[in-house]
Amino acid sequence: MLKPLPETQEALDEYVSLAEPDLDVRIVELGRRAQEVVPEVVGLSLALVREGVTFTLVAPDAAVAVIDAAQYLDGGPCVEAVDDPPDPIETGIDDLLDEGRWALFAQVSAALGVASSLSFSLVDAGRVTGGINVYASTPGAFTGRHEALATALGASALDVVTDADLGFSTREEAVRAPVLLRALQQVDTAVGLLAARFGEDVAQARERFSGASVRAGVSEALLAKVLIQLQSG
Amino acid sequence: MSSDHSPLPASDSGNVATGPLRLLIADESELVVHGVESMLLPFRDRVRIIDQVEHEDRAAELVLHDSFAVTPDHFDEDKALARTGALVVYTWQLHPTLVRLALARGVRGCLSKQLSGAELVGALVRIRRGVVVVMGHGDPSWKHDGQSRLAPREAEVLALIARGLTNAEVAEEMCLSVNSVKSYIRSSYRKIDVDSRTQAVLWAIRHGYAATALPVLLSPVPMTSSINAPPKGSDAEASS
Repeated sequence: MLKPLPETQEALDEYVSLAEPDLDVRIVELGRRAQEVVPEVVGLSLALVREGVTFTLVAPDAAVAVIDAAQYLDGGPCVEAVDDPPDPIETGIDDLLDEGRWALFAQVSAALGVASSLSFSLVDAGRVTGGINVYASTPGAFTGRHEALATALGASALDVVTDADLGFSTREEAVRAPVLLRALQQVDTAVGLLAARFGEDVAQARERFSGASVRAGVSEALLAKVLIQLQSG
Repeated sequence: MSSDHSPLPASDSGNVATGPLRLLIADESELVVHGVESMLLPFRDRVRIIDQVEHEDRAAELVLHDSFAVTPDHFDEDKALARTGALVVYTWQLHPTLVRLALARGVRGCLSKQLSGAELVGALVRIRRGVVVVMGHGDPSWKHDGQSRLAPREAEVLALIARGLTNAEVAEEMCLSVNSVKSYIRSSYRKIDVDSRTQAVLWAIRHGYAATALPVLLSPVPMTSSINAPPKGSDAEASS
């Protein structure tokens, strides 16, 4: 059974949508269906265009094996912890992303175990709303199964791309999702605060906010954070 | 909500007060005072009721008072607000209109006298942390503007969202699971007829569930000017 990456679970915790109230359930169900059609599936990513975020599921066994193998290549959190037991290491997302020493670890842990991939687009009313990438542990695992998989996932089999992401790059996007979603939340909150402050509607407040961000030369995420801090006193 | 109130010892800034919360029950009958004392006895390590003597409210972190009771006005709420900034309405009448007015006036919460001891302590502790809490008991919802019906938990979630908390932080603040928080967010969105966090924050502030305390900011003129010179006719200009 495929399970959400910790970062994906974190992102799902922050994701709220009336149109998609049970995304956490849906994505796990997508994973289950994918494995039902192609038992070799070891990962699945769902990207949402509107929010610009990616959620990723992986097979826990595969993930453990991959991490176990990868940590010996360039020193990883487990190796370092064993080498230096008195100083237990806490590894967070920031550590993994910010520190170059983890780069190889991250790349290997992402790429190992994936021998084939299949990418679908999700289209709703003629618009691309997202994409699904499915990853399998054996080469050619999806051969002859495109249509069945597309049907199972509710995607179109017309624009399928094979082996386009053997590096499992969507996993890295999924790691960034919690930070991205929290930034979006803060921007949304800040715009609401401004709308209330100036008696404007949401569109006007958003325009004011974006304009201020550009004029000040700061990112919207940073500006939102500052506004919220000011609001909190 | 006035911004003149002194901050709570445990305010939004994250400075969490330690030790038992010092609680004053203001202008209440002996029956109620002793009843609350008895009810909170098992929680004496978390809440300590201080004596009701004149000016004692300066030492109180929170002041419970039944602002909606029809009684002679012995207790000066404005004075208590000015001194402690931490008045909590404790009442049988958790009427939404009264609650909204009270919140707009700057009270830190509205709690029903029907709450159990544990519920009351939980609510007070959250208020001490800076959360605006509206909490009834056995009444899953209360009307707002005769249209929307927000449960106290939904109202509290909205208030916390308007303070910029993430779902995970709201969950921690309210001692709930994230899934419960998301469920409250969705149900409140439906009740107030919004579909985004931006709209929810705006609604929460406009309906008195959260304060707007932004100083002069982001006027259409350049940022440097806007900080120093508020736009004509703005609220900030009037208050600065």
